[in-house]
Amino acid sequence: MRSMMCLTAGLLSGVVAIAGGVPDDRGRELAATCATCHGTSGTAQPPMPSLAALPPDLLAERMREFREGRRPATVMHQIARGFDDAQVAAIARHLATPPARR
Amino acid sequence: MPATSLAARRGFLRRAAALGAASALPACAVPAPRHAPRVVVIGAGFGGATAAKYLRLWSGGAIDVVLVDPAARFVSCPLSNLVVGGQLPFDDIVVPDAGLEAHGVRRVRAAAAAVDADRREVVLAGGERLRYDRLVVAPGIDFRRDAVDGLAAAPEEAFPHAWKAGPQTALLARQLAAMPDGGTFVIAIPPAPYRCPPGPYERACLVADALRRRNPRATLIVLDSNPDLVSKGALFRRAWADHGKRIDYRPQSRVVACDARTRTLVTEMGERVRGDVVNLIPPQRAADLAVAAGLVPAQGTWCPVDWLALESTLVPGVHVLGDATLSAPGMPKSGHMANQHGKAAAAAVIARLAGEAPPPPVMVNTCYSFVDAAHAIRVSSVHRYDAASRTVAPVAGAGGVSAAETSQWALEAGYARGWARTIWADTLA
Ligand SMILES: Cc1cc2nc3c(=O)[nH]c(=O)nc-3n(C[C@H](O)[C@H](O)[C@H](O)COP(=O)(O)OP(=O)(O)OC[C@H]3O[C@@H](n4cnc5c(N)ncnc54)[C@H](O)[C@@H]3O)c2cc1C
Ligand code: HEC
Repeated sequence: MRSMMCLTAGLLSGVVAIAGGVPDDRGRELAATCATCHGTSGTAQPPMPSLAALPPDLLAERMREFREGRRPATVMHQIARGFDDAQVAAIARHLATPPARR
Repeated sequence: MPATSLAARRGFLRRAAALGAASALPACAVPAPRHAPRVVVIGAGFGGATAAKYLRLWSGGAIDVVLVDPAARFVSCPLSNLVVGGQLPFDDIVVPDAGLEAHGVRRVRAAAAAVDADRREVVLAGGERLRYDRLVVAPGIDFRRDAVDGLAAAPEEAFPHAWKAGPQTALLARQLAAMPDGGTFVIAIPPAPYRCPPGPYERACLVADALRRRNPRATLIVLDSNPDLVSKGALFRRAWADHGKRIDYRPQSRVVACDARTRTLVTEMGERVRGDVVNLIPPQRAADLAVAAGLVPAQGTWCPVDWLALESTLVPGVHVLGDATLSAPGMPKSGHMANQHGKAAAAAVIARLAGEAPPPPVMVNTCYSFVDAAHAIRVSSVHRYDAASRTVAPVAGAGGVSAAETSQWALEAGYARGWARTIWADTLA
């Protein structure tokens, strides 16, 4: 019986936590496409630049600059064109969220 | 499985995934699930190791992940052509992978022999069975030695492939270093699709670079099964121009037979080519285990998947990823791509276990190739799931190759080494 109550509580809290916890913008999965080069939590091996300390607005601005060819790049001008502003915002939000709450 | 326990596990998973940490669970939630859902991952290469790590990370430790692979250590194919050319020590491509256990991944150092999908069990080579709730299969490639007459019976040293990193890499490096003065080195390239489209041309650059320094009168013959270079053709040709006559490139030269005693290859056009070192890269297919598990169709060579969840179209409940898959349009068989598959599969498995729809995958690929120790060229692409065609396709307007100026290639070489160390950490640490 105790475990039944726990089950119900678990399911309820599961639903509530989804709504308030992990945003449904796929920031986690989208940021993981960058992690191969920029590191699992945004910390890369040099000279690959780390993204971990980049404020979300600056990350978004850099991506726009890369996309529009306004910032020198070997590769990012080509990758940035595969992501729109909403996706970049989701990535930036995810990277700015402390790991324990992702 | 009784409905209550399924519901309990769904709730458990969702909640754990949402909170991201088992320690944050309310105390009473702990005894509810009878056992955590178990995912078995076969193959601890770029695809499987990434899937295992991200399953642990993204479920907040709620999924029991068992990673099955007989390999005693991880040896990286990326950068291994530098080892062949003597530009990098072998030890630099042996990558520590103990980080996976720190994420709570349980390792079984054994080969999987078969999959019993009806009972949802993996059968290990020793006969032991591992139960799973969902299975991820990432065993890489094996060779179609039967496609080249005489190859199956040839001793390993006659025609090293060095297309799986490890002892073969060291063997080919030794043979190159010991090649007689003015000798002939032959590279034979299989028909596409094969693992790492630009890899053979990178190898040609690095072997030519080694010969220029150590054996300047030597010749390098490249026999390509394909009508032209499969990847980065214009850039590689530019790099090869520096090597003058040293690289003798012959397209449309598929090898159909070989003679180990004289180290001679025979092409489909009937040409006979003898070498002092013969690097025969055989035609490829999904690894033996994929065939044994029924993941490869009768007339096929690769594993077809539904790209929304990287689920086998042949065996239910099984996700296939990495080189073993029947690649989607414009998708290369690369370590970078296998890493991306691993994450997409992890997200899909978690969604399936929670009874939710998998997120439509987005994947990025980049293949760096060294043209010498200090210069590299690159091809990149972004891929996205397209619901209408039900596949993952390149995003138009994104991606491309390196600039033509070789000054950029020096920058790219720095990033290529940084890329290798970062993907190793993202996959294994
Ligand atoms: C010379 C060379 C250079 C390359 N350079 C690059 C590069 O610069 N960038 C890049 O992105 N890619 C590169 N690649 C390609 C890259 O190595 C592969 O695409 C990548 O390894 C594919 O990952 P995977 O997980 O599918 O297979 P693998 O990495 O091959 O992993 C498969 C694993 O499965 C295990 N396994 C097989 N059978 C079983 C079984 N029955 N039971 C249990 N385990 C099993 C194997 O032991 C292995 O560890 C290169 C390849 C080569 C050959
Ligand atoms: C192939 C490896 C690779 C991938 C994948 C990649 N990047 Fe980059 N990134 C680089 C490199 C290299 C640079 C340095 C600029 C250049 O040469 O293009 C860079 C620079 C950046 C910068 C600027 C950092 C700074 O401090 O100036 C940002 C922001 C960035 N990347 C964001 C992203 C995002 C977001 C993604 C995923 C959508 C991503 N990158 C994927 C390689 C990569």
